[in-house]
Amino acid sequence: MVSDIILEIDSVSKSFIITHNSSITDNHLLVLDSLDLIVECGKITALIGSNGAGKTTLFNIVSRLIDAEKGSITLYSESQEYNLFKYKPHQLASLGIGRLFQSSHIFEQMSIIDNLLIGYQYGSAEFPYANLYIPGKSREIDGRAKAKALEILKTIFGTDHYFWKQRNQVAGRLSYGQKRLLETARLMMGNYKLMLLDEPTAGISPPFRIEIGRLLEKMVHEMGVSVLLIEHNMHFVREHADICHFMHNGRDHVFGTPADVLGNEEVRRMYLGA
Amino acid sequence: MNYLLHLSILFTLYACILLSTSLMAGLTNLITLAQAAFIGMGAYIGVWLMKGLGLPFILAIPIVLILTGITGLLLSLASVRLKGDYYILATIGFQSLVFSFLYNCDSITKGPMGIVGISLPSVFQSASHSYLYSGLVIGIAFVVFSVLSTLLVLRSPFGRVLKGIRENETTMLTLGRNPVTNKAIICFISSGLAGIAGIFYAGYIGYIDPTNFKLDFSVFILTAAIIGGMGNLTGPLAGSLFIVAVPEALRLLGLQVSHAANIQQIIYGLILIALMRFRPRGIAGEKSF
Repeated sequence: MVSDIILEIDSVSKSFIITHNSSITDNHLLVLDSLDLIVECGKITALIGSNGAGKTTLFNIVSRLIDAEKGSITLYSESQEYNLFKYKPHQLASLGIGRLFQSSHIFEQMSIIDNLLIGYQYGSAEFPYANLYIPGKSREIDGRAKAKALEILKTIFGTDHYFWKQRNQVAGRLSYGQKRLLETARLMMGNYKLMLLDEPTAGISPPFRIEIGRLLEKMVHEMGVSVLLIEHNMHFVREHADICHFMHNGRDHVFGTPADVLGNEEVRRMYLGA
Repeated sequence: MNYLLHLSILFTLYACILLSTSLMAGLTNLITLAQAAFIGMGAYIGVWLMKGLGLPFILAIPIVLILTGITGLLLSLASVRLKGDYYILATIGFQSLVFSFLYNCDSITKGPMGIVGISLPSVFQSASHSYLYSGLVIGIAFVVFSVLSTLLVLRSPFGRVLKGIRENETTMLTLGRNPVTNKAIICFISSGLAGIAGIFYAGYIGYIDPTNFKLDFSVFILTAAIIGGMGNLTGPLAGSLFIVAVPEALRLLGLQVSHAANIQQIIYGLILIALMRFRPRGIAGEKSF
């Protein structure tokens, strides 16, 4: 184990069946091709590359939403090694892995505050009728969760912010940018050590991009979280990422500092179009 | 007076049934067409416990709750692989299975002959109309139990998790919640509550046979739950009031006897269509943003 690594992706491959037509002999599309990648502790590691390069597929494999065909993924956390392929998707949050999806995954029928509270790990206080058989513990955990949610709203966004003023209103009324911001803030409710952020700034206006960047920096530098970030906004990558990987055809094609990767001739030709 | 008491008891019965349906279908989107089967199971198991084993009504209730609850939990496991319409089909299959069992295993259930001589315990021994008054008191007790069971779910972190699963299961997975386990638990609670509504039904009507618990009753229950609104406390109560009060109100129109039943059905149908057009979330359903 290397102490400054939090996630090690080793020779992971994945292909999808593109047709069931039996006359086609090679009907598999190779999305990840023996991919090797490491995520360092306390850093923002950006993944860039064209659509179809395999970035989101990699996130889905790390999140255990789909299975890899071969390879391994190891999480290093608190002097322990965890082979992620032995875990089910819902067990990853307790290992310290959080995920932000590519599109808004806010709970639209719930209030803003409930959207934050659902990000908290209640444990046994979340059992049905827990307030009947463990009333004290249940109240205590619920109180801690509410205090944390209010603290996030107050200290990070402020009491003049829409989130604070409208915290009991349903989140479905929020704009897309506000939803993405709330979703990112929800990750701060959990005790995550590694966050997988899939295009957090896609489709949102510059002020919200700045806000999300601010949250990202806070997570990494104040909360000690490590981030694996998929992003198509190169300004955002340049501004926030510590390490950058350019993925192409399911492989880690080029990596280095954002300045090096974005200045790379091959990356410019194959992806940036300049 | 007896007529009003009877309607009030019917209201309490439907309130229990719709609250149980709303918990499952309203909170997790597990639309079920097997609720009549659970009511039937509750009724038959309850009668067997009381008449066969001689257990008192009050002791039969928790046993019925647990047995029907476990059956509901097992059925919910089908939702691991079956989503949406396919899960509904699975519940129809279960409904048919229970009906066939009740109808054909006449050595246990007395089949189409049914079971007679069932009664609720008497609460008021001396009062006139004691049976109806007892029925109402027991009905209210059942409703209070169902309302508290629902309220404690709705206002708890567990209820929040169920609402999250209803909106987006994948997100809930990444937030560390297992939709299968949580759905199984709510199906246990919902089926258990439907089961105890069954024992109340059997006791109040005094007679049960398998045709009381057919698929059309499940469809009726689901329709009533949708009319009232699901996922909250007031929707099922509003739905119960609607299905008890509206048909009775239509009887007051003074229609010719030869046509009354058909015209009442047409008006009832039109009211349902209008409700779904103008209040698609039901009379008192959860507010949409």
